[in-house]
Amino acid sequence: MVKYSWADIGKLADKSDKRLLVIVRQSTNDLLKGIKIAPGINRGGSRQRGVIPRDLGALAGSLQSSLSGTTSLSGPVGQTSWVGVIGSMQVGDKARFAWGGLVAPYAAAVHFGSNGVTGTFWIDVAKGKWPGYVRGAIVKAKAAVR
Amino acid sequence: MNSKDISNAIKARLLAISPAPEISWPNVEFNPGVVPRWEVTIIKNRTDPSLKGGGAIDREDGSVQIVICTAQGIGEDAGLDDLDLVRASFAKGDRFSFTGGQCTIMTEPSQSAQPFPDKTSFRLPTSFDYVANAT
Repeated sequence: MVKYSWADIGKLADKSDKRLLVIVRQSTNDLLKGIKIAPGINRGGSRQRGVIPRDLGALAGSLQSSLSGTTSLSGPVGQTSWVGVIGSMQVGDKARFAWGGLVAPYAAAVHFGSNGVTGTFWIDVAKGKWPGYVRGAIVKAKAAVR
Repeated sequence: MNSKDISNAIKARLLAISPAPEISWPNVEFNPGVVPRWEVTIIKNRTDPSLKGGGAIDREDGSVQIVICTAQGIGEDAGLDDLDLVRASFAKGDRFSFTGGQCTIMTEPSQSAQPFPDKTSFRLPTSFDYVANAT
């Protein structure tokens, strides 16, 4: 049996903080990395649920990643712009990821569907996987921070 | 319960809404020019298989995506009355039973994004999450 004393509280708090940081970074990383990109209709592909279709690349490349809180980061745009956010984020920060904008104003039409073509709902599919990513990150955090 | 039971229960609740909306489902032919119309997609995020086997499940988490399609040129708030109909039938915390299970609405149906036009309609997306448990 492990016994703790008052003197250990500071260490326990530090360990919890480190684990929380691993969890928030790992789960956010898995969320963004888990969104697949596949050839769009114009390149012989099809509209698959949960997938960003890429014909010319504008939509996939329109990802805007920003961070507010203890660290402020705004502006990175690009398919892997989330990497910078995850590297900087701290527990309690608010990260925001969005596709579209001036680069790909048709993002909503692809996500929700339009003109009789079904949407791919990649944000909602990713959102549905979030609890699983967090559960996986908790396991990794416990193993990484002892 | 199995996954199809859950989909059928959600579909039945949608079809019971009054006044009845025109609904188009995935992989079912429809005329994109018909408005007003709801395009409904059920996304199944996670299913917990049951020890009973045979495709039975104990729990399913999912979301229902509804794109409310209205006529163009009648204002940006054209779909809000239909959104209220969705909210009335699928309010957060609502529970409804079906053969072998019970479904709970976990989030309030809200506007998911800015409405946007396509060739034939003005489209307002909304969605809500649900959890279905076997009884």
